[in-house]
Amino acid sequence: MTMPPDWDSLIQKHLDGQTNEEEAAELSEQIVANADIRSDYLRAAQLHSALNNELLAFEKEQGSTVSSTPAHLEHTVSSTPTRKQVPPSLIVALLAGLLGAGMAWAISAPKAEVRALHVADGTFDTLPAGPVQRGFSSQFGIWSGDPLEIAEQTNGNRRLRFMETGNVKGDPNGGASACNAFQFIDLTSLRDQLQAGDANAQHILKLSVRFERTSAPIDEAFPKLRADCHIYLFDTEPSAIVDGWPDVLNDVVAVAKKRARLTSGQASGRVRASCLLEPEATVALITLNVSVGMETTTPVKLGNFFADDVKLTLTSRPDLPVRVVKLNPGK
Amino acid sequence: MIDSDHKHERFTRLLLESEPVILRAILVIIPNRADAREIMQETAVALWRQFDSYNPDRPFLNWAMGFSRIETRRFIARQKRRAQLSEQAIEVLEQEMSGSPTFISGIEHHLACCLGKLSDNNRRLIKGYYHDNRNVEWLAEHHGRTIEAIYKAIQRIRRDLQTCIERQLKEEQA
Repeated sequence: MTMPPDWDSLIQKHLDGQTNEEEAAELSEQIVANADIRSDYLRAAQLHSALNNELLAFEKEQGSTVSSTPAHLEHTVSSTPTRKQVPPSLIVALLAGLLGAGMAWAISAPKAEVRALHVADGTFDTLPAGPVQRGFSSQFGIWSGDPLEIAEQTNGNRRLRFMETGNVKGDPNGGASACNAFQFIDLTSLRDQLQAGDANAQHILKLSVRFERTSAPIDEAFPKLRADCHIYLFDTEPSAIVDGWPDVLNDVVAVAKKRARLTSGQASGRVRASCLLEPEATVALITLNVSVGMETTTPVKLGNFFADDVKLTLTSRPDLPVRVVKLNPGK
Repeated sequence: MIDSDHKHERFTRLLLESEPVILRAILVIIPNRADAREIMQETAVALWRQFDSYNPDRPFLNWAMGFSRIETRRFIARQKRRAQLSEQAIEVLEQEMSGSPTFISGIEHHLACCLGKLSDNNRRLIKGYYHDNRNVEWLAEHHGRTIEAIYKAIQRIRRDLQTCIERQLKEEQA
């Protein structure tokens, strides 16, 4: 009599590429036929997949500091891909060659470096529960905006709650279709560091945040609300951005935006917006907002809409080692 | 030329945004990292070739995931280095994943915290395997253990991490 397989061990073996054809076939049959084993496989494989995330901080977290200082690096995670592990930017360079008149290939894979930039109170845990500064502050490293508050959950976690839509400039006739949270980040010292490095490197800023909506009386009137995160890059002072808002958006150096639409009881997962960090950018304005999706000048209460765990990262990729060779040069 | 540059930049941005999610989904089906990245590259090539047919009113990620599924099948059909799951198993896993998109974000949210609870030795081992892309032979030599012991240790650490994450998810829901 043969013992039934230990499915958990077989799943683990498969994740490490240790199963043979027979074992993989046996596991496949169980995944199709047995919901429990399918669920076990998914949970284990999704953890394995998450462990491959190059942004994951494997080192123990250092104590975070509240600061209004220029953007600095909280930790650095380097990724050195093997020859086959070419980052997307290189793939794009390759494609540009393939689809043009030439052919391109990677001589060697570049080293990508991912760094976490400091967002003051990105987890909101260090802020006191209660209202957030109203209006549009031009100070670096603080949250401000339309009616917002820091709300504490029963487990002690604090997060940002969007209270109601408003007009951040205080214009009574201005639009009030969104509730915005703003924070300025000084990029000058980061820019100096980057300029001292590889002048041809490509730098990508990525903002990410989690949104969640729980039940509230407004849910019936607004079954779906929009939550956005933006990065705006400028080469001017925050005070000029505040004074010129929103017309100043015409002068933006780069912008990135990502949207999630949530119904009551939904969490968004991580919403990510990314843009190239242009060399002339000195200031990043990050914004989180919730909007009702219609033009209104009357503030709308937003019920229970939250944001948490705001992160900003910089991915740097050196000059791409791609060589281009003309195909059929005579034609 | 400007249109071409604009298209190129737009594609780069969309791909950069979606790449981590696509790669994670591929890794669930094809757990080997080098294989998964190869599929990701093929997917990127296919996406660029078909980018003119992309409707910007639709989510890029959904459009791209269709291509990654096709490239995954093509990869399985042409490579015989490692044993893979059957077509039927892949289909049911993909269906299940599309039905619970928030599951992975729950894992991500708690993973960093659970990694912090590992012993220094275990964290070094899992970092070497996943982050530094070390193979088990290298890890066995540097940790003074057998290859079999390294596999077992990695599998045990993954189980511990899973238990930790699931406990935290339950506490969050309580």
